[in-house]
Amino acid sequence: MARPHDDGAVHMLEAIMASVLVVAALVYVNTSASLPEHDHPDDLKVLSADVLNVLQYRANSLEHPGLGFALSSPGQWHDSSGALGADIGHMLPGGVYYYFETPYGGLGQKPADGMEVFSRPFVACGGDGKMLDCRMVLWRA
Amino acid sequence: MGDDGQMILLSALVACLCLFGVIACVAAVDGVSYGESGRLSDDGMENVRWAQDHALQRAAFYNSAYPWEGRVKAALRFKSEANSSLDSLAGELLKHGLVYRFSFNDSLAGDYAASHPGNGTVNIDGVLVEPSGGSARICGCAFDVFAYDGVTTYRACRVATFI
Repeated sequence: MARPHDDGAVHMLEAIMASVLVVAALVYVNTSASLPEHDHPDDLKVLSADVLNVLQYRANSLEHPGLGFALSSPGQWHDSSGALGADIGHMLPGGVYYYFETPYGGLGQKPADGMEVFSRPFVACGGDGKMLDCRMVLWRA
Repeated sequence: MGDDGQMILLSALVACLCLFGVIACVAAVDGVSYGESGRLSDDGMENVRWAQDHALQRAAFYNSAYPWEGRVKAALRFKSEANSSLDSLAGELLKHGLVYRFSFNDSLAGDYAASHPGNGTVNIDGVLVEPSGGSARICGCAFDVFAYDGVTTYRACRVATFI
C-alpha cells in the first residue's frame, strides 16, 4: 500500500502531464491560426480578380489583345492567345503560374493534381452572342 | 498511477481530441470559402457586368444600320438579340449556382430620353435610338438586373450608353 505522500507526488506528475498535453494543443491551435500570408489562397483570389479586370477593360490591340476580342472566335483565340499569355505572365509575381480554360482551348501551365490552386470561373461574350463558360486558375509552384 | 490520476490524464486527452475536432471543422469551413460558392461576394459581379455590357454593345452594333423610318424594327431586333445573349448568360451562370435576371426598363429609358433631348434621342420600349446620318443608331438602353448567389443579392437599375 502506497504512503499518502507518494500518492500526492504521483498525482502531481499526472497533473503536469495533463497540463503539457493541453498546452501543446493550444500551441497547435495558435500556430495554425497564424499561417504566413503567402501560404493563404486569399492573395491569389485578389490577384486573379485584378488580372481579369485588366484583361477585360484594357484597350484592344493585336500586340496586347483584350479578353473579349481574343475570345470572339476560335480562330481569334488561336491567333491572340500567345500575346495574351505573355501579358498575363508579366502581370503575375514570381512563383505564381496561371492556366485558362476556355471552350476554344487552354492557355498556360496546368497545375498538377492535388496542388493548392485558386480557381475563378468567368464568362465572356462570344462573337455569335452566346456566352462562353471559362475559368482562370492561379497556383504556386 | 492512481485512479484519480488516470482520470485527469483521460480528461486531458478528451479535451485535446475536442480541440483538434474544432480545428478540423474551422479548417473545413475556411476551405469552402475559397470554392465557387459566393460568386457575387467574390468580385464575380464585375465579370458578369462586363459580359452583359459586351453582349448589349454587340447587339447594338449589329442593329444600327436601319434607316430612321425603321427605328422601331431596329429597336425590337436589338432587344431580341440582346435577350438571346443574356438568356445564354443566365444559363451559364446558373451552372455555377448564380441566379441572374435581366429586363429592359421602359420608364427609366423614357426619363433618360426626356432629360437628354439634344441628339433627338427617342425611347422605344426601353431602347434609346438616335438619328445618325439618316440611320437609326441604337445609342443605349435602360434595364434592371437582379442576381443572387445564395449568399449575396445584387440589384441594379441603370442606363447603358454605347459609343
